[in-house]
Amino acid sequence: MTVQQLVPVTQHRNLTELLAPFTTRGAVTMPFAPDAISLALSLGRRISRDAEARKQPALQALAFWLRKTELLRLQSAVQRIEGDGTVLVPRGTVFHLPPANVDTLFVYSWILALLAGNRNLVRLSSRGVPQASVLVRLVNEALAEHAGTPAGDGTVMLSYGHEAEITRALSAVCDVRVIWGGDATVNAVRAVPLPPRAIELAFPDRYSFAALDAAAVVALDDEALAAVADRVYIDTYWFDQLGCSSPRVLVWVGSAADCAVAGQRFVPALHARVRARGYGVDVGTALAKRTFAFRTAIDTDVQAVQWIANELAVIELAELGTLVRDHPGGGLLFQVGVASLDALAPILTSRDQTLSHFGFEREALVSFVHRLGANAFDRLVPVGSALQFDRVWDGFDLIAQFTRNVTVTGS
Amino acid sequence: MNTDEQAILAGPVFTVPQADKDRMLVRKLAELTDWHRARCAMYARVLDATGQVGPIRTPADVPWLPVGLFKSHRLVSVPEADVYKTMTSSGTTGQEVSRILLDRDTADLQARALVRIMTDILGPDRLPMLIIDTPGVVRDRTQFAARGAGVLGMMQFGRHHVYALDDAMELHVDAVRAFLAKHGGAPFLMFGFTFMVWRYFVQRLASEGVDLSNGILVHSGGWKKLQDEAVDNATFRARLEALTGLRQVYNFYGMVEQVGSVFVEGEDGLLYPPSFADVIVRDPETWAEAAIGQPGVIQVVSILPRSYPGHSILTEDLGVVHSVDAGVGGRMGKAFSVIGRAPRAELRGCSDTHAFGSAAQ
Repeated sequence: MTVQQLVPVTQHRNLTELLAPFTTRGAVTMPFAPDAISLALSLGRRISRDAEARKQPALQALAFWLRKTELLRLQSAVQRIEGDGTVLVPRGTVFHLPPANVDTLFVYSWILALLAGNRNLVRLSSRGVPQASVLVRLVNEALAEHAGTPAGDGTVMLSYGHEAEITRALSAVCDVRVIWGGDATVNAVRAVPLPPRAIELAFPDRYSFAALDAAAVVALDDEALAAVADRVYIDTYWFDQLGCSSPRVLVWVGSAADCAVAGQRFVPALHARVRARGYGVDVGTALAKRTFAFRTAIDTDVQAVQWIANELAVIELAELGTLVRDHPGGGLLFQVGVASLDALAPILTSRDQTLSHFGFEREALVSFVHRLGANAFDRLVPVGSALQFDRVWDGFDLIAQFTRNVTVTGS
Repeated sequence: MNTDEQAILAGPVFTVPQADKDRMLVRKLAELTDWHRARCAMYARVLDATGQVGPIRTPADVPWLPVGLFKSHRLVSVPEADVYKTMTSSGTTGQEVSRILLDRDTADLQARALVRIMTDILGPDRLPMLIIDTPGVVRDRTQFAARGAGVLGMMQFGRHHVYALDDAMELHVDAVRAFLAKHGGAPFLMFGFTFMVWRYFVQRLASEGVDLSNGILVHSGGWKKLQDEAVDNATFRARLEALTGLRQVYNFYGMVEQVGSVFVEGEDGLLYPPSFADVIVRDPETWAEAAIGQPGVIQVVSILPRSYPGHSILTEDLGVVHSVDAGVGGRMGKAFSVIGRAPRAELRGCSDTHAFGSAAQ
């Protein structure tokens, strides 16, 4: 069987030959080997210098994450994980299944596994998107620069459709399988067996909220309001509001009067940012959002559907109890006012991932998390950072998952 | 109750000037809006939530529902006991289908409307009829719900029915030749779904050399499947005429969701609304009515749906109004064409799934 290889070079390859190096013990290094760090830095530099990549904010965020200070921070985290009496080693081969269309996520997943010292197999969607092809080119350049080192030689990225036998062959040689993107994907891939000692990390569908302190927003001057709106814009629109961490509900926290005023000020400010940033949706997406909004008006306790523009619809809920977690993407926010963050608690489930927030002290958020217990939120982050990737994702420390603690006790 | 509608149905079908039609539409559609709001709680909720509650001064002021709402919700404005017939849209397995609920009055209006339109095209007599489909389409109603209903609905306008395709969708050449030998010398009717007429009839006729010059072809179902083959209406008509001499070809545009909205092609290839229905093309950014010649999203209105709130529906199709009160053959009102389904790019996002779990695509 042949597959389409995209990295290290684009070519059709025999699957058995492609997988041969992954069945041996080669191309594994200790965590944070110099050539792995060098490769990551090289990729970051290439992204920040590339004319095409510079036009894409999501790629620039990736370049920012690949700076030396960030990598050093990661490295010090590893030292903490090592802990008393254990030594950290890579797990071996990591098989990544990134989501079809979040164009940059495969690099985050891959780089963390690479820095941990692993060999990597990455399945890229067969539907090419421009962002990914720019990235694939830059990844190839960085790998070519490091050819001959374990980090430079230990990665293959390939593209295939839904052939279960390819997923089966890749799964058979891996020590860690990472599935990003969707309940259906997770369930389908889980049906494919793993070697007995391999582990799996699954990142299924999630749902996210934004909570803003109403009085704090009311107190903002126009300039500061625009800045907050821009951060909410980034969180909401970068991945067409379909990222797991993209907020779908705008929760105002405060008195009813403050919540009303804050919403009336904020929604036009957000719309202004949407226009200024030049975000647009096509007619089909606008129609799908309309249909969703009308359905919601029937099924839930909707006070009003505000069709600000095709790019921004706001559905005002009387209360959170009837919130339905379907979502069409493309700029549709539920809006609701509550007296305190605790009002969220009854409706939260383990599916809820990120609360991006504005106007709250960390202590208040920590005590909120304590009161929530097991059933909600993996992240509470300031507005503007909802999509910021972190090595701790959905409650997993990825560096820890991509390594093994070996107990070494001296005599 | 239906005397008003029956009077309109009895009047001219394609020759009502737009200004007269608009006056009638405003009156009837406003009345229907009140009727449904008072009887269908879901409809009332939607109108209140979306703020579609202003005064109705023109047909474009009439509130509308997105067509997709009929796929997810059972919208009805009569007591359940009065539901006499449920129509469903075509759809492949697993797809949501629309459910349209008719009482006897609305079903009766629907039947009368179709008769008025067809007799306007075909004349008062039933013609010998060649059905461009398989006998299975009416035999196996579970498999071909919408297609079967369409064929059955049209069969009443013909006699001496012959199916042109066998159960394997192969052209039944002998049957077609026998039909033509008997009826081909005088006007006869043909009916089929657009893509089937093209794929299983026109294409196969190329080598057969049959004469259909006395035929009247009525076809509907949309161009979506033919867009992939780059076949548009002009190509379709030209090919049929070149191969068979057939010139009387009538495409229909309509949807199961709106009773009465059957828009018929004129000799110029444009579509014309009947007196009891209309199209409004909306600018897809401002959603205001688009100017003549400007493409936009098609809204359809009809005065016939009383048993369910489907008198004003926003479709997912793009179209353009080409002229008003200046149609071919003395037709008045709007002349329009359908461009196709509104484009919907796949949005990005980490919530799935190419490949895995969606192998059906």
